[in-house]
Amino acid sequence: MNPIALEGLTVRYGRCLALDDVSLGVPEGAVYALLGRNGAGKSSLVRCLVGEQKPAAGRVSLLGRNVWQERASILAEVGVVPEEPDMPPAMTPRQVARFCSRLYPHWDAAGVEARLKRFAVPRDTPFGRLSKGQKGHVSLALALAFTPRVLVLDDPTLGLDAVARKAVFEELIGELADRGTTVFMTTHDLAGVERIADRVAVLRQGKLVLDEEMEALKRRFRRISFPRSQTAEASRLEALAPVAVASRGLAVEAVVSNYDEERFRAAGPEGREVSALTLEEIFIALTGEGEEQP
Amino acid sequence: MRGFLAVFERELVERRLLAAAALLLGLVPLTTPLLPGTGQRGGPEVRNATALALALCFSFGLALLLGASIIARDLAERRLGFYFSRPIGGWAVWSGKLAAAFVLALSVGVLILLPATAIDRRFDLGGLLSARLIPFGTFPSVALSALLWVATVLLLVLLSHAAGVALRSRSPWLLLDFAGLGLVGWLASAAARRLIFVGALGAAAVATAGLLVAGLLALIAGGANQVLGGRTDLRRGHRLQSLTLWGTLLTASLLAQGYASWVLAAEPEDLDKVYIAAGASRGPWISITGAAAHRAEYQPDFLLNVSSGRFVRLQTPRSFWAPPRFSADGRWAAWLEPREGALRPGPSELVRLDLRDPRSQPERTGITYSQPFPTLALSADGGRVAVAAGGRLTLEEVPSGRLLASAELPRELFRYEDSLRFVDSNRVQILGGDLFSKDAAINEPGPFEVAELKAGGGLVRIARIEQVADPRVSGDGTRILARRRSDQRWLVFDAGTGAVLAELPAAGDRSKGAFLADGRMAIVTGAREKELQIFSPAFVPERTFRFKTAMAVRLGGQPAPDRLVVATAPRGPEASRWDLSRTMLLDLATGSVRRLGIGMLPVTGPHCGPESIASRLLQRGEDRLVQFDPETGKQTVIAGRRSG
Repeated sequence: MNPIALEGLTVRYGRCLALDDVSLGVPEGAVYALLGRNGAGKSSLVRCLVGEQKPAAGRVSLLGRNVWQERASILAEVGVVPEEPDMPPAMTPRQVARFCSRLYPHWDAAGVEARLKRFAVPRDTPFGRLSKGQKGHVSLALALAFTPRVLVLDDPTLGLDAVARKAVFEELIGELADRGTTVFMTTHDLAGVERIADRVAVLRQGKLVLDEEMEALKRRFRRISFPRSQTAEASRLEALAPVAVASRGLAVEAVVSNYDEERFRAAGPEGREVSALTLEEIFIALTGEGEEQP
Repeated sequence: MRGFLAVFERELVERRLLAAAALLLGLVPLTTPLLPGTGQRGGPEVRNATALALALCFSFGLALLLGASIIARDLAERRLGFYFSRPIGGWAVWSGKLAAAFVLALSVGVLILLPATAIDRRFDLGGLLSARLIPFGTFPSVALSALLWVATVLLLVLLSHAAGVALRSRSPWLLLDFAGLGLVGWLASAAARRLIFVGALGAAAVATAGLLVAGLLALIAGGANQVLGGRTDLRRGHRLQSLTLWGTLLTASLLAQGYASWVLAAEPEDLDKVYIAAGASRGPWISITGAAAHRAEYQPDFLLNVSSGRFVRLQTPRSFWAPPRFSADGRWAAWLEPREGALRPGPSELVRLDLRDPRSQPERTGITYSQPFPTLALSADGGRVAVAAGGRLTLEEVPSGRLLASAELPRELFRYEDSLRFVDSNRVQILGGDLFSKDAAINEPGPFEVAELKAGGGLVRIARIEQVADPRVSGDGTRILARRRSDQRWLVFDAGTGAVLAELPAAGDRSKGAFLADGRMAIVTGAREKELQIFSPAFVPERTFRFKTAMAVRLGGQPAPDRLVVATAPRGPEASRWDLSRTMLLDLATGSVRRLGIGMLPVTGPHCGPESIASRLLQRGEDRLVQFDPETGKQTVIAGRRSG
């Protein structure tokens, strides 16, 4: 049984369809990265996932239970890091930690202290006066403090500088190495998540357009370039499912989503070049067209 | 519970400075005795009143402020997710936050009061509230005052929470809120107005209390549903709050309407106390009133046809009440109904009913009177109405409202305006004088006068009788029976001139006299035992009845020719025991007496003759009207409790 399972999730805001029949599952111990452009519906999905928002249709199961109905008890085993740190601005990290410690059966106060120290977050400064990075670090430290079985992170590195982003991912890597926690993460930091994600999904205008193992995804996506003079080559690419084709000077570049090396070598023309893609390049190829959602 | 306590404690701790500020503020009233003009004696009172005023202001103000912001602001600033992303139930979030707001608002008030109460052990919260700060109502005890305070703070917290969420969400559901407020307000006030209009103030209070409780519950349910169902989604929360709040309040308002309808639908059978107000001098119609069972002492008025059981409900509130008048031919009943509700005396309108038409409904005549409490009389055919009100006597045609005559009444004689009668359709007489004064201390009573107003003419004073008591006018209006004060002897006067027609051989300072329906006269005399003397219209003594154990005699009507209903009461420890009265039917021709029962009283006076059903009615206890057959004595309950 997947600790996270979404079936036919649909969210509407008035006439606007934010999530359209999204179904996905995250296996135990996996790191699942949900990618999408702004307004693709990621945060709506996360709010539904942690039981903050009721979907218009569909079912969200967290740790095998209906999260809308059993949110409070489920969240005793689920750490949540919101997109916008939402702690009361007058409370200091120490006070927030004390408040949270009463809510969970197991609370690693020393671990919180250690993490905050590692992140160099002042423990007695009101939350409202912390920097964005520090707020994010506090959220992460609190979410990890009770040894959650599932960790839900909604763009935890949004607005953070490179150093802070690195600290977040290193913390996560350490956490995963230690405990094997199931992680569900939305992020725009594709380079960061590429290092740790086992599985990747892409939301586009509320629809799930991709949901795949990271390795498999990276295997089947390739960039192929060939001289413009060999235009006949383009028709051969159809079998490789091109998702983007663009002219670059005297050459043509195509991103294919169904690359098969043997088949391609046997049929391919002279002068072609094949290169692997980063997650960011794959994401751009998949979602780069069209306007950004409001 | 763990979640509730965590949230509750967090909110209190975050606002702990309020407590310190309240304590400091509580020191301010201690300086008021130093202010010039307060004086040595007034100082403590000024201090305590200042402390109470500050406590109430800050308590209520804080209730509004915290109620409006403690959840709604977090929602609007997207900070409520802090709680919802943790293992805290929505119920704990809502109740913890609002309980903290409630406790903070209340404790700030208490802390402000603390210094003043600490130095003055006689600090009278209830007295100060009723005497100084709240000019209406009384607050008999500290406990009740404190309860009112607590309830107000709770209401303000819940109310401002609902308003805060609605205003911050800026969703189209705000339109529903305004529509709901308007609709519920209209329905609730309409229900209360319907009850108040007919003087059902107890039922109106029950409906209002029910609506207040429903309002409190609706605010609790709406607020809780907003947080439990809406969670961090402000718009969804607002929608749920609006649906719950207005759904509950709309239901409560409709229930209040239903309750008002049920109360106002009381029938004569529902009266658990019933009294006759008036009886038509001809025909089966009477008017009854009484307290309706289980309807918060609502006292409806009915016109009741004793023969058919048909009844018509009168819209006459208690504060406005005057018995309906019947035309002598028994066809019309007329009464006054208020035009603006029952809370204060005001303009009234003449309403009439055709008693002979079995399908007739009360007909508003359009004839209105601006003065409160007018005295009304109806002509024999019901076609004219005379009204004495505000020192003026008017004669009008019904239903055209054409004014036939109007005259100012001499105030020294017609202060009470309580005896008005038609001689014929063109002449109306008003009887008055100091004799009507209930003031027993008047040693030198004024004259008893009869004045007459004719259609197209002015007021003419036609008879003046000096030094008499207990005047009674005969049914045809031609004679006056009264007791001469000097020797307590009963005299008969000519109502047209005031001349003495006869001196009856009956006297006594406690004696009572009356004309019977057939024109005979009855005089009750005696102190330790009572004697009833009957005189013919020609002033001849006809018969005497003696009631040896009776300490009081009440004369009823004449249910049949030569029959008279009489009730006698034995003496009780302090007064006559009418609850043990013996009621009997006297045969004036033969002198025989038939017992009708014990504990019953005739509902009408001896002016009521056989043609009026009222002469055959008895009041049994407070809960039944019974009709008896003058031949057989058989009794039938016609209104009130049927059993027992």
